[in-house]
Amino acid sequence: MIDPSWIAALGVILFGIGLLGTFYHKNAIVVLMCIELMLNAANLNFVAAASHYGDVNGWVFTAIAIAIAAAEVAIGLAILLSMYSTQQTISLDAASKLRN
Amino acid sequence: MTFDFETLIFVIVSGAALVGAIGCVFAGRVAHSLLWLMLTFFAVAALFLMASAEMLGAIQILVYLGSVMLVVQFGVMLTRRRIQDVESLPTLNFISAAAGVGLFALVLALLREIMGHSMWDSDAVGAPTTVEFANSLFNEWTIATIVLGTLLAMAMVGASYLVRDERLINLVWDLGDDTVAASPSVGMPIRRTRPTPSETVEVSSKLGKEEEEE
Repeated sequence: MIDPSWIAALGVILFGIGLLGTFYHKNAIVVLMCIELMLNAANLNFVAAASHYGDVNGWVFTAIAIAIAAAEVAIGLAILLSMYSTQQTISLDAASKLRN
Repeated sequence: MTFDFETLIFVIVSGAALVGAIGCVFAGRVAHSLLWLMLTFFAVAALFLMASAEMLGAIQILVYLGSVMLVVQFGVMLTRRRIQDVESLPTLNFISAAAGVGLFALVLALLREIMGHSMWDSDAVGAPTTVEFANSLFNEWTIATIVLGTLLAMAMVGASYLVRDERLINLVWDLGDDTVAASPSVGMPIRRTRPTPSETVEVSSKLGKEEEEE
């Protein structure tokens, strides 16, 4: 099996790229996707540690993180579609007020 | 480190993951960005397989690529074209350059911490099996699994509440126009909950006048 530390290192790099994306973009959907990328990087670290220690808890945490990410995407996309229908834009600069 | 076949596969898969991630950040459109992200998720699923986590690889493909990314793609495509254009990327000024350098330094520091951590000194025990995963999930983490199911149900209800369309004309569309015209007192009054842009302008100008009068 491949050395788990390499998988963890790849997770760190993916996390950095996702963080760059959240800084870089104004489009809310792209920011949502970059957050998904960061969650996946964290999952990679969980799996690497689980493979190293032979501990199954890392897998359980990964499964929970995937389920929570699915819920987050559903809610986030609903909020963005609602915002688009009221403001005709999803730029994060326009999302500065909580009500009309 | 011996350069065997598995290392070669790892290099290819991790390269695909990095290319997908960079493409996701720097793609010109949201739809293209999403496709690059799906490449990254496939590569991450392959990495799960390489770490002997077959169940998680299957979950990754089924949940992320099968449903979540499909939902996001539908959300992007159902809206108008304007939502797809990546709007005005920030110009490179001093603050963003400093943020980029800081981010790079953060990644390097994290890499150094992780690769040099003492946990890798001990010998690898070997990955757990899927049977252990199932036993742990449904015995040790039962409450967490139940709470997770409740959370997902609440998220689905909340999402459908957020994107609801409460116009009466859509609620009673199968009753025909006569029913609505004959009994206007039934249900909510007919009105558009989402004003057109011209109405928005009128209302906001009226509001502005009222505020001025006050």
